Amino acid sequence: MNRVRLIHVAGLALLVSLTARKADAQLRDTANVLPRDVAREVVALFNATQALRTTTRLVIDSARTVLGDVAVLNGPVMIAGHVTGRVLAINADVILTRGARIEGDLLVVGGEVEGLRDARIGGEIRVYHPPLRYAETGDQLTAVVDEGAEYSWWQRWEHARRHNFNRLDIATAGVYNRVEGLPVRIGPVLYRDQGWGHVRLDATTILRTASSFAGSTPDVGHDVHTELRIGRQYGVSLGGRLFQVVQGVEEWQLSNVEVGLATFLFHRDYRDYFGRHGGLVSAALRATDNADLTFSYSDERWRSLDAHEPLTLWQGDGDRGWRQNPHVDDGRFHVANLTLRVDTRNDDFNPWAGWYVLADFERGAGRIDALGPASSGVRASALLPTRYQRGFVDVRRYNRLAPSAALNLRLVMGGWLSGDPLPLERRLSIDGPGTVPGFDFRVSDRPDVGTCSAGVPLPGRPAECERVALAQLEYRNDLRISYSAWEDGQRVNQFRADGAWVFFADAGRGWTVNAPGGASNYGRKELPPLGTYRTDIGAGVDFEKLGIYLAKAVSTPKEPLNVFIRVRHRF
Amino acid sequence: MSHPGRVCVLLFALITMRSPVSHAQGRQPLLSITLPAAGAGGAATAANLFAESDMRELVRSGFPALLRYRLELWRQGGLFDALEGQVEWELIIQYDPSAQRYGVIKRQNGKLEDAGSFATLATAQSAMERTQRTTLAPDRGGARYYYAFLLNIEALSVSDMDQLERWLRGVRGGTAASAVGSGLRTLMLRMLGGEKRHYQTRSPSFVAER
Repeated sequence: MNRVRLIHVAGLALLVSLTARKADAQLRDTANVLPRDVAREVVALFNATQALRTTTRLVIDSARTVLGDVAVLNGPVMIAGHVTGRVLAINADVILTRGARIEGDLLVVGGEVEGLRDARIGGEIRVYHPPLRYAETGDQLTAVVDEGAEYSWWQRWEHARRHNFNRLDIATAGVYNRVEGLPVRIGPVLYRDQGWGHVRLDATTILRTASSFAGSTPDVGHDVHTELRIGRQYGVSLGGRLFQVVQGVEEWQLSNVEVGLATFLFHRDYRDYFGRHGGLVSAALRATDNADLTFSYSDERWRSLDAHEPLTLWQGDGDRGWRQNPHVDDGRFHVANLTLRVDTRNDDFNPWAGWYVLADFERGAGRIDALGPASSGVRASALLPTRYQRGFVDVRRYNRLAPSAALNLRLVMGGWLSGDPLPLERRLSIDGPGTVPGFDFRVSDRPDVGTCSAGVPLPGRPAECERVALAQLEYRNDLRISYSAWEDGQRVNQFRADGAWVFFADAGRGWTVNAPGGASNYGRKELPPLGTYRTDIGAGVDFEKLGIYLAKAVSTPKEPLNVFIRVRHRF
Repeated sequence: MSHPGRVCVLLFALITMRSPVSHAQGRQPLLSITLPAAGAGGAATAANLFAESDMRELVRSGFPALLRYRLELWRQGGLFDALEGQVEWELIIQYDPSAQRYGVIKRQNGKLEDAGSFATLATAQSAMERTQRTTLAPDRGGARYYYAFLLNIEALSVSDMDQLERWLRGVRGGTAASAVGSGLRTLMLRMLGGEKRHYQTRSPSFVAER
């Protein structure tokens, strides 16, 4: 076996090496030569420019508005006014003065740009220092290019991001989980950059390693998605989607990476799943890259799914099977969502300041064909036609207390707002390492304020709460671990790791509102007493990519100490 | 401790404690901040950019490296410190083996600029290590401020965590061949120790002139 693996690794390394050599051979040194592709692009743009084209110095004063594109050869160009289209400067410098406004791209070849700070550019800015070599035929330019020259690496890299493409897409279609195993998406992707935005179409088939290759019940999904995006940084997106996918019941607690790793490495899947099959249309307003408002409406069928036996590296004690995937309410639903996302964090990888807000309002209506099992007293009646409103808010605030310390807070509230009781797919829980980690996942106490179950635990212990509230607080302080030793008469560092100490406290619980008499039920306008919340405290070290923590339940002292790992920060 | 707990600790140790060589003998980028003179902005310099042998070898092997810089100005006071402003820029370097030169580009505020082509990594590095002056200056005389300077270095398409995350959550990949190629490339880079490196430093607190 080891020999076979060795041969595989050697083969892979050889293949990588050959691939790299081939790619390298295509590279030429063109540091002072305009890339052929860029030369052709600018010539085509120059020849096509209608609104304003000149081969001498150009001044657009502050009172002037040019409707359309501007192209200048051998400028310079001085802009104080307004250009509604693109500005192309060939072998010319561009000088922008206060108030200058260009709504399209700014492309400069063989020149420099000054005054960007005082100007407003709506599109992209590209500056190429090498001049364009050209020939003039009447009022048309022809690029003089070295046919042997290739793009320099970065121009190829930059262009690859912007160019139209058609390609076959092969990638994972979601998280590694106990229902699908690894979902793999295969299909064509069409992308067209239109300047004012882009059009994209993905049409993919989803193969599931745990179920798609079963002889009796092959299960193949699909996800066809199209998007029309108008504007680059801000603007509008319109989309449509046809899908047959597997969706997590609660995806807000742990990241996909964490769930996938726990499933694959430790035989623990922290999510439950259900099948979604239908179509969706959406419209989004983007204020910036960090703020958007999305409306979507879907007509879809929900169904229960069974767990399979995906590969896992560490099986654990004995022949322990996978936790059952709980059955949910099967039926057809029309679901409308309005979702707001605002992110003002200074860094999304390691934030020290700012807000992150995610707020979602959902209105669902449909007919339940088959009710999923629920704990006794958790669901008051078996309503087949159903109509509900649900809200969910996740607010995070990052605060720097001092140069080396931060105090971060998170508040999550969600659940039923009005209408009929929530279907099981839309219920919530406060359970596991993503919420109050001092309590074990799906090991309920009585009353179970984590999942709101009652009586005999249901298979898989589903989330049954209609409302949840969670508060998380953490204090972080710089931590530097280093080890040094004497070498050749001087002290040198042998090891150093920079991270942070983290001290945290969490409090949260779930409850129901439509099950009078239930142990976890409260009135629709009530909040459970604070003394009933699960609480914990803990500490850990976080080295940015991974953190390891200890958590101890406070509200239930008999709970044992928990050790857990989080990928990146807790929130 | 339970078995899962022990496995967690072992995994954590393997992942976080595997880089003693990279930090050996103090070989890592050295960030420094120059406090502003009256009326001017702070300046930042990053030296020893490719001092870590594995990153240097990656660049020499032809993998492009992205260096993402950010200088932040913070004002102390009140309950929390306030982020007064920030400046970001990027440098990208790649070795062209056929020409045997290192190309460098700079990207700032959406503007892409060719920063030159160099015969050796050392000369490219010295060009990349020029002090970046900014207009990030305190505007409240008498208040206490400090700068934070952050640098992320990653071999492009190499970040282990990002690759893993993309793979686990699903990402628009490319053709089947490119997906396989990307996977192999990632495998190779992992063996070489390629990953995203994060460095930061802070200036001492200072009082802005009135």
